[in-house]
Amino acid sequence: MGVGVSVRDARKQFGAVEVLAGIHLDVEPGSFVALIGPSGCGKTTLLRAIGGVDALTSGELVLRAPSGKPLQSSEAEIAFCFQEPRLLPWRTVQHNVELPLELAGVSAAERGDRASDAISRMRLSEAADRTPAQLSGGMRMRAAMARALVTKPRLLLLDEPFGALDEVTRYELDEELLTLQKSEGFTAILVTHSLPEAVFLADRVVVFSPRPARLILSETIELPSHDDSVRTSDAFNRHVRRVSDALHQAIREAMPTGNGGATT
Amino acid sequence: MSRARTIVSLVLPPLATVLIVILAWEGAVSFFSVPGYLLPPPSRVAAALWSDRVDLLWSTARTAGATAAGFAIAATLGVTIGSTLSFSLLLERGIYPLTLLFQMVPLVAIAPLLVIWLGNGPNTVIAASAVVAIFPVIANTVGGLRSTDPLLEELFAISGATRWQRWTRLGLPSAVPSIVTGLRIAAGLATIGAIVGEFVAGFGGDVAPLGIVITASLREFRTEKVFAAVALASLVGFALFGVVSALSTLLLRRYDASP
Repeated sequence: MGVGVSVRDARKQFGAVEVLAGIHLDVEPGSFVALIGPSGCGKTTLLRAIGGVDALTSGELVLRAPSGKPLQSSEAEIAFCFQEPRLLPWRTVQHNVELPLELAGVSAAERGDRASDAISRMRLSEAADRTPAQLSGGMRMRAAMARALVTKPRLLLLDEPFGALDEVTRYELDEELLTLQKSEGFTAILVTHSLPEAVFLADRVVVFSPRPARLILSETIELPSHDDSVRTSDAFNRHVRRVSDALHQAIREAMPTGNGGATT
Repeated sequence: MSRARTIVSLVLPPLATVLIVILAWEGAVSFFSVPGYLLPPPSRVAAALWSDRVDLLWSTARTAGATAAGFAIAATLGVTIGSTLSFSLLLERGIYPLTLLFQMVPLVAIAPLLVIWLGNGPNTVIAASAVVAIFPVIANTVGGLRSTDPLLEELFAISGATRWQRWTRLGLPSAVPSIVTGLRIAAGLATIGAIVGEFVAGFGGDVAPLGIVITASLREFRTEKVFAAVALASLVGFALFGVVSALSTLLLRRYDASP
């Protein structure tokens, strides 16, 4: 089902600026990994490199089928979900969701069915004939997720997807995303600024230092359940605490000495 | 405000202006005793319109036909040229500045050349109309295609879209509002082009087009008929503009707000 990812000594330079300073990261097939770190630390850069959008300056990046067989990024069936929904304003939800299938040359009848299915899984069926302008922010994100899921991806790359949504909608979408990921078994890698979101969604939270990014903590998350109530449990809070401490320590260390402490 | 009242509030003020101008014109002509061949009163223009109504109607139809044909060519070729240019940066840099020639060279200067190439007759009129109308279509197509949302461009690139798919599913739809603006401008220009074309490529036949009616009436000092023909020519321009505007409103309904 899901695709595994292994990254060895990934480095990325933008001109003179070093963004990734030798990242090692292993993502098991079917697992959910969250990348967390200060703004501009290079999380998105790594995500885009994994998705094959941008190349690394050096390092090794391998996508693997569950059998262990290496895959080209074109065979890995990768889908992206961005912070902005990136919907075509002149198309209805239905036709927006059909887009990836249309670009892949799937027949009209089949893509109609598959899009309707993805839309109903995102509980958006009653809005299928509306255009993005007629949707709320949460519904637009649902449409974007349906579009990402319509291709039955084996690796879903999420770049801060719910960052612009209000808290209630965000919790709701977190839960649905998790349910879908568990039931469909795809691998998910999420970039987020929200520690609670990372802990809630991920099997493992990976913490990056400020730029140039190094990996400073890999926290395996074990929670008693995955419904909303777990957000107030002790286990949940302990994980958030540990991730938060590691993050703050890294930020403090990156600060020039004698320049005061880090603020939250 | 209700829809009916909105329309009334939009239509009434310009109508009132026209009415006031006509009344003032009529009054001024009779007050200052202006000779009719210099400035005929509106009543005489109306009389000329009425007495020659059948001929004038056919003339108008002929000019309108040439204008519509010129506009259609300008629209089709303009979008095609603009799109082709935006397919390659080299083409855009090499050719786009030269399309300004359509804009810079006065039509009256190239119209005689069109007569040499296409002969006297409707072909030259249609070509003249298309030549003046095409530039805003090209410019707005190029501009619209340039302004495609880079985030959507990236989405298409990641999804492995071909160039053709990017153009048909992203570039062209994104450029529609801009192209429509170009078409509106082109509608007015196409009418001007047709009339100028008729001036130089004067073709007779059974029914003279409005441009010929204007030149012929001038020679006969029938200034009121000149005015009548000018009024009808503006009507052609207005009508084409109206049709293009109505179509664009239909087309742009989906573009009311981008998310």
